[in-house]
Amino acid sequence: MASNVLNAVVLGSVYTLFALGLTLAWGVLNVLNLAHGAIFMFSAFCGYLITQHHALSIWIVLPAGMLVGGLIAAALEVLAFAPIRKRNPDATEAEMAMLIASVGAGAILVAVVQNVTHNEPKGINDATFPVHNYDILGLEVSNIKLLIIVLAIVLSVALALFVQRSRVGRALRALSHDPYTCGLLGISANRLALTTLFVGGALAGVAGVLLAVYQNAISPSMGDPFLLKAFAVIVLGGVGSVWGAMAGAYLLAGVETLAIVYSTGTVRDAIAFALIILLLLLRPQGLFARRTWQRA
Amino acid sequence: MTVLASLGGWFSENEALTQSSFAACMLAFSVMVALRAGMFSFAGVAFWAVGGYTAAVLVQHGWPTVAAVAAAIVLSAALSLLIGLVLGRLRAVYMAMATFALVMIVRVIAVSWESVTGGSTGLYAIPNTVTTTGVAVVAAVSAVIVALLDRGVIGRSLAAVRTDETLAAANGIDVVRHRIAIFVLSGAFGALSGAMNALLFNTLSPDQGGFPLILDAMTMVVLGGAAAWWGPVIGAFVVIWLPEILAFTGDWRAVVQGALVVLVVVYVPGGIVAVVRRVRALVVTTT
Repeated sequence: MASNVLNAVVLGSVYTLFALGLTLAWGVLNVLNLAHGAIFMFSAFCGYLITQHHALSIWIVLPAGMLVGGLIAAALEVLAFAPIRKRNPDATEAEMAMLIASVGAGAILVAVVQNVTHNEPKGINDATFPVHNYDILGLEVSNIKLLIIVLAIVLSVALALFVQRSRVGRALRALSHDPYTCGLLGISANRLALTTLFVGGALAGVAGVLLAVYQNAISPSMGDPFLLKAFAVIVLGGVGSVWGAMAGAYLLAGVETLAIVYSTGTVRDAIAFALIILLLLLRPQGLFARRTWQRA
Repeated sequence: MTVLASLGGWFSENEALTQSSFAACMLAFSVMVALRAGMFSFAGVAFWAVGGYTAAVLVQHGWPTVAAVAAAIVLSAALSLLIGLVLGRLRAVYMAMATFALVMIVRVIAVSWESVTGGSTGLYAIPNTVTTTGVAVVAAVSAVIVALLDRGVIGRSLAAVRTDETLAAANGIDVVRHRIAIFVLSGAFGALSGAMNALLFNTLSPDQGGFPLILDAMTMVVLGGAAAWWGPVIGAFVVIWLPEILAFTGDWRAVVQGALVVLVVVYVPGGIVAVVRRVRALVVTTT
């Protein structure tokens, strides 16, 4: 029982790190970034590349993964999203165009990894983070599990405080509410968009490296199931809400762990989809969203 | 006539690609009709798999081709209606997300329902019961349906739903009902494309659907353009022949295709249809 709870918390922590970037970009910029799963995968893949011949400390691999994820997401904003927003005055058309561009960009990343690895699963060098098990009151806890949980909580609380308290965070919330007035007040939407995507991509990078170390495997399609899970998390927590994403992630992980314990693996994957449909039907604003303007 | 004959000869030399292109037209139509009603839906890609598996399994059980394809369409249309009732009122990005999730869950079902779908290896030795002429006729009929959607009261209602929901509603157009109807049509087109594909090429596996097929469907519609029926047709032919055209890129074809999508969406919004129309407008005004 206790070990199931622990696994649910680890899973929820990875979901949180993954979903935060997606929900933030969606809430603030109305971008549904379908390349997010590919960015997550690519960061883990870069972790494999740099540790391929020589083991490095996790405290080098993790920041490297963050940087890769952040830079790719930022490049996507500069090369695709920003030009699309500039050329499309109609918001809905711009949203659709950005979505399509993200599908194309994600395909590029996946195809690159497929070609380089020839579809063979790869792993980050074991010596990067030697896994130890500790016995805590009869419960077997590994250091990688602890690292995932602690990092997820620290980073998401830091992000929540950043959005709620800092000057940039206030600007982000203003932007999600009314981009036009933000422009009048001298808030640069483009610079904020870049910040948002960089932070989101960096969080996906952390999640990718951590998962790759935890499961000791990297494959080109590893981001796909997480995208599905993140949608459920976002719909549960409400688009753009950091606390909502955390709550949604741990809730989904808990329900999925219950499903694994009491039934088969197929049911587990169906839960996320069932939740999405059910919530869109009954409560499209999410379980925790209070007011429409609190989208970031 | 000799020109046509030589063209016919060229196509029959590349018969598999020709068949594939015609089957792909329906997939492109499926995304395109949804866009015409202001919806961004990947559901056609999900129903491509549903239709493909349904038709393949039924034909393997001795059903006549027409009945199997009809059953695939009816089943997918019914499922589309159920899902459309939930998603019909959603905004563009929410609908994209939910239908993207639908594609992934269909893939999960295809992999795990082994007794029917053959699991991750998929189905093989599917009877080859559709001919090139057959799929060409189906594509032509589908194109006519899509072209007719642009005309008359339906055409203007859809244009209103797409461009301004509030205005459409104020003029007595039931926005949600129109959207659900088009969502069902989109599912039917997707199923038709999948069924044709399965009955043309003997095999069907979960890997043929999913994210790669989403990319293909997007490329077709984005490249061709969604403003006229011939946009997706051109897009479908270009995407299917792309491996031939881009043979020199070898393994990097998917990278080129992804980059192509991004470039077209940023710099050529509206695709080939928009370019042709702009050129035509230029010619008309200058003469």
